[in-house]
Amino acid sequence: MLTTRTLSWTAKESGCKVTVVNETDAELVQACLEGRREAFDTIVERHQRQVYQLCYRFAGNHEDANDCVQEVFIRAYRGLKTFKARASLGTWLYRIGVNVCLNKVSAKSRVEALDPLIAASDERTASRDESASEALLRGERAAQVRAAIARLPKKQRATLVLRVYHDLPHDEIAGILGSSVGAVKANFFHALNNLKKLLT
Amino acid sequence: MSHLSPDEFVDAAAGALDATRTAHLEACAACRGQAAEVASALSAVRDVGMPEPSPLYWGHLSARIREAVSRETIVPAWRAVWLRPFRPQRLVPVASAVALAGAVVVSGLMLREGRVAIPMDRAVETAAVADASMPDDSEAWRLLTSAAAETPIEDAHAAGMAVPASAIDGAVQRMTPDELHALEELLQRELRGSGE
Repeated sequence: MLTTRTLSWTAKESGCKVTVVNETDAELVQACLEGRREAFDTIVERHQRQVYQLCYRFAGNHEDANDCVQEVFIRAYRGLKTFKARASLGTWLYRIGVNVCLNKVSAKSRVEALDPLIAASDERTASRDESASEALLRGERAAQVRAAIARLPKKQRATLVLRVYHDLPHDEIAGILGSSVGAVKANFFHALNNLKKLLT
Repeated sequence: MSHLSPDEFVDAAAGALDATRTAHLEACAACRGQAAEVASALSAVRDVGMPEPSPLYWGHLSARIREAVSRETIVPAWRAVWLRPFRPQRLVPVASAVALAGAVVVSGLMLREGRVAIPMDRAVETAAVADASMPDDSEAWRLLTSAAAETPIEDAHAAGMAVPASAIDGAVQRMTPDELHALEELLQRELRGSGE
């Protein structure tokens, strides 16, 4: 997630005016609190991809992930006044995201049953040289792993998603989940152990 | 030496296990087996990519969030904290109780001072009630406090039970120490109840 001063470009429809948005996250939050609603648009544009990925990993399907992302940003907007500038906005959004997902995504949530061939084409590690049968196997395996992750207890799932797919350090995950580093490591270990059992 | 703990298996998978424990891991078949299981599960999870939404999706998502947020307002933190105890739903029972208690006190004092004409056949009975100063355990008092807690202030006004603030002030100034104490206890009880 972006936490430092960055550049992004916004094409305005009227006269195709291009503006440079180089405010930090903290400056954007301050601008929102001062009534500049468009500053929140920039926050959304900056963080929506990471929040979507988090929600998708939890929900396992696009529809639920989509609902969760919207809920995360609405809650963030309502709670901007409580955001402490010394923290990372990205981490704060992750925390809201995990809470939204834990509350909204039930264990029965439908994990997207992708056609293995389509799923295989989505996998980042799929290579052009891979044969059709290999791609099929990879897709099936990915669907199995997604389904297994969806069956993990909530805290284990949250820990696994944040550690593996968002590459967050244990202490940051502990801050997000409101637990200790030891508990995060234990949850991660049990998540992997349970996955292994579910996949065999 | 003891086997690796869950924390240490996680550290081992991240290549962050200290030298002593790494030596144990290399020498212990049970720990090596468990570490291999952890590494294998981790590898399976890492291999799963994520379907990327259409490039148009992000624009639609931003627009939907913008629309939802446009219906929201941000209340400054200091205002939210200060106004919390004064939310209308919390004030209604307190205000109802205050209005009814005021009405009772004023009526009682007016009866005591003889400002209200009472038919002779009911005068003795009413005076007895007024002189008793509505002790906490009286049936009438319980009935009134119960009604006060359940009656919205709007209904109390509509029923003509409200009294002007000046009348309440005057009545309170004429109250005995015991009456003041009873009123204070009643108000504190109501404030505590509304804060829950």
